[in-house]
Amino acid sequence: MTRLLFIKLLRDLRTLWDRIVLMILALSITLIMFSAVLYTWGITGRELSGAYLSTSPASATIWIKPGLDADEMAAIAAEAHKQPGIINVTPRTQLILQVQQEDGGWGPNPLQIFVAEPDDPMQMETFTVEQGNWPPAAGEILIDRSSFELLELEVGEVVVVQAPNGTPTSLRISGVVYDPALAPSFQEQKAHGFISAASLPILGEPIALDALKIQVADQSGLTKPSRNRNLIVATARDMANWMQQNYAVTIREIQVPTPYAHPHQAQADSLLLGLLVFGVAGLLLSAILIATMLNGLFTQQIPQIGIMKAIGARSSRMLQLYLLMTLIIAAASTALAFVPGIFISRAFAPVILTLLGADAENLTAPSWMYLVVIAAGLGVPLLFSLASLVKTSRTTVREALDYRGVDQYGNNATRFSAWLGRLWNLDRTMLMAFRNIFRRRARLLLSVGLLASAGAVFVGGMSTMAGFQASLDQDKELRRWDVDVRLADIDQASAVTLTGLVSEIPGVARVEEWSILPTSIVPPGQQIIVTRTYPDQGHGSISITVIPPDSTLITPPPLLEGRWLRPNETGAVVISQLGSTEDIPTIRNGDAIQLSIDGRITVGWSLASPSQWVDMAEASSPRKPALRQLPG
Amino acid sequence: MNTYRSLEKETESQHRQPRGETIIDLNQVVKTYETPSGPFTALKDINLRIQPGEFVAVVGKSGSGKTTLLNVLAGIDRATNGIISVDGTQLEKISESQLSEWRGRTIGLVFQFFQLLPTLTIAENVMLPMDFVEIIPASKRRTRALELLERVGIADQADKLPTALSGGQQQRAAIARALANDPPILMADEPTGNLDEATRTSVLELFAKLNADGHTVILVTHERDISSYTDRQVTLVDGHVADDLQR
Repeated sequence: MTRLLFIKLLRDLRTLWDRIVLMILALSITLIMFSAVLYTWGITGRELSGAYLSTSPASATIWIKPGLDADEMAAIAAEAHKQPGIINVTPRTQLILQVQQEDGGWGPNPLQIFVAEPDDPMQMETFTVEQGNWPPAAGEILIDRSSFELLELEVGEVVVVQAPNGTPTSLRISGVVYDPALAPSFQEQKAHGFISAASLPILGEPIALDALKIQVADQSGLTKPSRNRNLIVATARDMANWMQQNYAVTIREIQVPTPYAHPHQAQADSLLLGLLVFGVAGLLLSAILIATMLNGLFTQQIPQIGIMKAIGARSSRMLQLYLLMTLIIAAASTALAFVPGIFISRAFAPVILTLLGADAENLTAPSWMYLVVIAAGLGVPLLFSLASLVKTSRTTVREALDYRGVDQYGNNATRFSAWLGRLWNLDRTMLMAFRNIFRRRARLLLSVGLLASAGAVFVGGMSTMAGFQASLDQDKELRRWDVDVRLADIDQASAVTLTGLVSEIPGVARVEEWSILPTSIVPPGQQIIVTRTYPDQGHGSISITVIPPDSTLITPPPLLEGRWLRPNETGAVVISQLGSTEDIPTIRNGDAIQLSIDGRITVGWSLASPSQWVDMAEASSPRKPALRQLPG
Repeated sequence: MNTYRSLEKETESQHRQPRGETIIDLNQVVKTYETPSGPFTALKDINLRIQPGEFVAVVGKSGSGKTTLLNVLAGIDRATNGIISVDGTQLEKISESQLSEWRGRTIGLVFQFFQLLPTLTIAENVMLPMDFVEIIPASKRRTRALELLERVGIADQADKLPTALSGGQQQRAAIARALANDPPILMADEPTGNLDEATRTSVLELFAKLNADGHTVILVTHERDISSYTDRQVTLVDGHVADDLQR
């Protein structure tokens, strides 16, 4: 690039400042959008993962039934720690409590409490005590900070709770806990608390621990928990077998959530990936816009290119000149977008993290993302303009001198122009307008491509929104009831009585008794249930919904394959695509599967179909007669 | 080889080479254009030899092939058939990009509509070919540009943009630009076609002076009474050389 060409470039930019400013603004706005989402993605992913891992999550939880007293469990834990590949072992338990409201009634939101021995070293499934101390004294409870609003409580207050086997008991709230491994209470409508095992007798529960938490390494001697779920499952199974053989305990279930993944990791990734897709689409759109505008600008320069070539300029010099012009526009846009993108991500990331229940410690995006944004800002417009750049720089002197703003169509254009001229009701002004549209095909194609792309992005965005709303509407349609009352524990006879009583309440049109039971798909030959359930006992779990044969409240969900259950059919099940793909990816309609239902392994279920279901976390649903076929 | 060192040593008149050595040689040159209504042959078997230092006027009616001949000589157009040799270079053998650089060294082109770059000053327009060809050191380019502008009589306009100049001044600037790398050949396509009578005369006198200084000049023109300035007048009719008059 010669000095004079650089001067020419700057003066050309100054002459065309209004068009250049428009291009820079268009590109920088989309770059801001793209970079803000990308940075938010990076910050959220890192902080969520960091916050989750700071709790030192267990690789697996082995549940036994019944629980053992603290000393016995401590002895098992001490021996288990010596097993190969085990980094850490600790016994725990947890309970679901009912919370009494101010009016004396029991509140709708349960309180899930996590229990550890007072001398638990808290090296696994730990949390941050923001106010108060761990362990709380007997009769005291620490509450997760996101649960206060749900329960409408404050530190120092006394809360009346009732454990499954106990009577109403008062616990004093002694502090606040931040546990980023748990989903926020406002999302799950479930509160979380933490007590020491010393409080169990006060709640009317025995001091019995029924969960052994373990952290598994890839090899003996390593101290970093494994990312390999299959290895963790195998190690946990070995450990469970060892416990059965050596301590005569009954294994209820092994829970192995996805290693290193926050319970809401997939949701966060999906949300941000969706935003990123639209960010990239916006970037591509603005790149096409810039290519269109640059094409027009380069076309205006064709006569000057001809002159420069006539006085000695090579094509490579012309390419350098217009390449630099494109780069200056791209660089200015990137520079303009750089800081706002960072600021927006720093405002947006904490919002996302709050929704996921985690704090952000560092709001700086990973450094490689800055490079990606710079590369995208400089590279994408360049890439989209390259064809036009090369074509323009290769313009010959003859082409430049002959250039009249009309493409060399040849006979086809003549015929097309002639055909336009023969249209009987087309006046001369319209004829000129139509011929002008088709005067330069590259410009026409870019303009049409730009509008089509913009339309596609707009329609894509609107379709996504409409699709999401349609999905919610469909879920609403499938849910044909107004009130869903979940009972803690009830036998069949009481349920029938209760159903009869509720049906007599004025205004109740229809009442049905359903059961929702924890379930898992058990691979053939296995006798120990292994699930993907997280410690909150909600995320990663699947359940089975048992529906009366004459149900009018259920609407069969859309089926991806197979058929819906037939009246009075037994031994058949419809499962959700989530349940089928995660545990048995090769499962097909008509296959026999083995399920564990409410802790019991059953056999002989034939798969009616995978389906979509109202609650994606649920597998559904044998009809009630099918349950009567269960062995035992 | 036209280096700056040789340029410095030469006086302008030293460009004149002994008559008898051909600087431009066209042998059976044909140029056919593809048009929507079929092929159109603009030049038909042209044979032409021009000696160094000649001032040649190419005349003829519109459509006779004058501009096509000039374009073929300057490497702007490729001949369909035949051999074109200009200053020892056979044009059909070099690439488009090499042609550009060759043109910058060998040919000074002047157009009817001046064709100055609008965002560069007059001096910068004159310096631009020097930047492209790089036979004149960067430190001496502005001085040379000012000298050339002095020579064509518009040194006082050096730092103005082309739009600030009259048509005649712009054409003089275009001639100065054509002289930037001191090419042996000047080619001009209707250089006076857009000028008034007084300016026209002064421009033609300028070309005559440049020819006297040693440049070979080829002028495509409609002018009828140009013979007083030129050595030779080639008349084209329908793509043929109909007449070739030496003075």
